[in-house]
Amino acid sequence: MHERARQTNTRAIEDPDTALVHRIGQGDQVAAAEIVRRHLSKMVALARHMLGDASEAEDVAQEVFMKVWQNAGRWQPGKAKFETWMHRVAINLCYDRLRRRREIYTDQMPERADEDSPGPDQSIMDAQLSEQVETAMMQLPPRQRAALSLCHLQDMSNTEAAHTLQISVEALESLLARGRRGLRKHMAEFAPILLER
Amino acid sequence: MSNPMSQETFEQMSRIYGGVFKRWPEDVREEAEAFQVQHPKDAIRILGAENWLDKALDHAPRQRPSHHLGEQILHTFQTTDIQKNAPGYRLRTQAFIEALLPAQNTQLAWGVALALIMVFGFIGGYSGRTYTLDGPSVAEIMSPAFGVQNENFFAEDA
Repeated sequence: MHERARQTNTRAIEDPDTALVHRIGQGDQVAAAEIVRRHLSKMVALARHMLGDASEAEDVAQEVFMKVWQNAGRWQPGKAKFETWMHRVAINLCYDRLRRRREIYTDQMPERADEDSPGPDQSIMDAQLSEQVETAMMQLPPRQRAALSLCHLQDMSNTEAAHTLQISVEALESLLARGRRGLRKHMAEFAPILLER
Repeated sequence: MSNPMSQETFEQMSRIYGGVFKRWPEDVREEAEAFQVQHPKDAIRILGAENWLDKALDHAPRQRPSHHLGEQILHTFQTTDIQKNAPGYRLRTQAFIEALLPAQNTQLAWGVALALIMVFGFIGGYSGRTYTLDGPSVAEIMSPAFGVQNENFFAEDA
């Protein structure tokens, strides 16, 4: 996609969760509670960005941790971070739900924020903006949404995000570029407001 | 020393990763900063075109888990005590299977399994035959079930 040389990361993967995962594999509930404490927020936020629904996001997070509990014994450290695996599980669960949704509903856009709703109060404007971003995100194809969510909202590096999505860095960059282009189109009317901030 | 970043690459990177360098790949940040120093006007224009979109993305809802979700998950762990993939479980299962099938080779294991099925089948079949021959007649079983007292009821039907 561009001429810069990519450096291959040859460092051994340092995973802060390895010891915990080993203990969970032996049925240690204290370790399981710690892994929930560390990662629950991220899982819920990721699922929310993917699904645009608060209660479904919590369901997905719960399913992710259930899989952690049941599969920790099989985890082989060194290949990838445990957190990366968790993100991958969450994204796959979201894809499943989106697929099921598509089977049930036709493509329906959520209603846009009411144009006549109250004026220039900052918090109202923020709430509107937040709703609008979510609406625009939900219009993107799921893979573009996942890429944006991992890189921008979860602050993952490009290699980690590519690993999570099981694609090359080049493919990730293509998803990001297309995702941003799509978002720019859907959010264009908010550009002047955001540029002033 | 690496080659200086071209404007084209700088634009491409900003379209992919946005207007904030900390989100750019580590291996190009230094070159990007050098480009910014050398071409400040171009850099401001290019990054500015992406900044508003970054701000928009910053407004995406950041859902926090509800108060009870963590507890609910921990409760599920407590009630799901079978970890099928836990080493302990696997060792116990393996030991059980090895005790049952002391064969290392698959063909022999299948042979033992088939023999066990045949033995159980024979026992089941023999018990069924004994019950049928020595037990009550069909009419005796069926009559009370249908509220029929006359043993010849079925014979009349035939």
